[in-house]
Amino acid sequence: MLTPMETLDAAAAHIVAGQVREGARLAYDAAFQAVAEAARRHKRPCETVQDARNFVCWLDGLPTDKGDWLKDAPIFDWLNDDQAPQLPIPEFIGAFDVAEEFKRHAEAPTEFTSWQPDEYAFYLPAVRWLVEELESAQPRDPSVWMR
Amino acid sequence: MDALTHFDASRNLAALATELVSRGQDIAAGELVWGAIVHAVSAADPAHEIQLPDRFGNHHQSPNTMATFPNAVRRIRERPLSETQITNCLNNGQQMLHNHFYHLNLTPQELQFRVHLGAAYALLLTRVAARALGRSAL
Repeated sequence: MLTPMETLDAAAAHIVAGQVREGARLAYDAAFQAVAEAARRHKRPCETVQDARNFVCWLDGLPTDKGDWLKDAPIFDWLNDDQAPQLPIPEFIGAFDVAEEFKRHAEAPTEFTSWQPDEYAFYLPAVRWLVEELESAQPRDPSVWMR
Repeated sequence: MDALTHFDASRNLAALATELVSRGQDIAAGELVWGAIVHAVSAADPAHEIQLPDRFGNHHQSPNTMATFPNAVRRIRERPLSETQITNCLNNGQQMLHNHFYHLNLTPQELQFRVHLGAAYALLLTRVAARALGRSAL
């Protein structure tokens, strides 16, 4: 069985060779496998895509219910308040979003994919970052989102 | 356009987006949040006004695509975003919010989340632009 990084390397090779759909499929597989392995280390469930989203949200310090984050962190008040604290950026969910874009592009009929071939290569490093960072990631303190 | 005009446009779009969110108009708010990000990057990019003309003769390019956004952010002296954040910000803004503006392909909850995530980037980048220009963020 390949490691997530080996799977990602295979994805990159397919994309370079122009086999972007297979590359996209492998890129998502690498990301999901890495998330699942990290979740297992933290004794959290990761059987489904929603589990994976919940886990990366948890790493970013976000509530797993995104609605709670929106309610608790009045970002738009902060955006118009010079004295408001600077928010950190939720990076794990951002990178997993990119991985999910690969999944969509792998599964969509060719005529409905919107990426040009070079976009597959452009977005791949975000998935690599995710796979690398998940090996040692610890959850962020959720209080950073509260005011 | 000059940097201060881009900065003012960014602030105005952020304020309009805030008003739209309060009215539940998340589709339009998402597009304006992405616009606020792009204008903030234009304002903070020291090379924005001296770029060569593009193929349409415009004397500089808007940092709103894969070809232009990453390089513009990298030129900002503070280096405000990591490479992964650059990719994620572009994905959230251009791929998610801008596409949704035309295709309506996100769920309401997903759209709300993306609008707020975009606002987190806008919050960061408007302040970076303010510092680059020696201005208050508001």
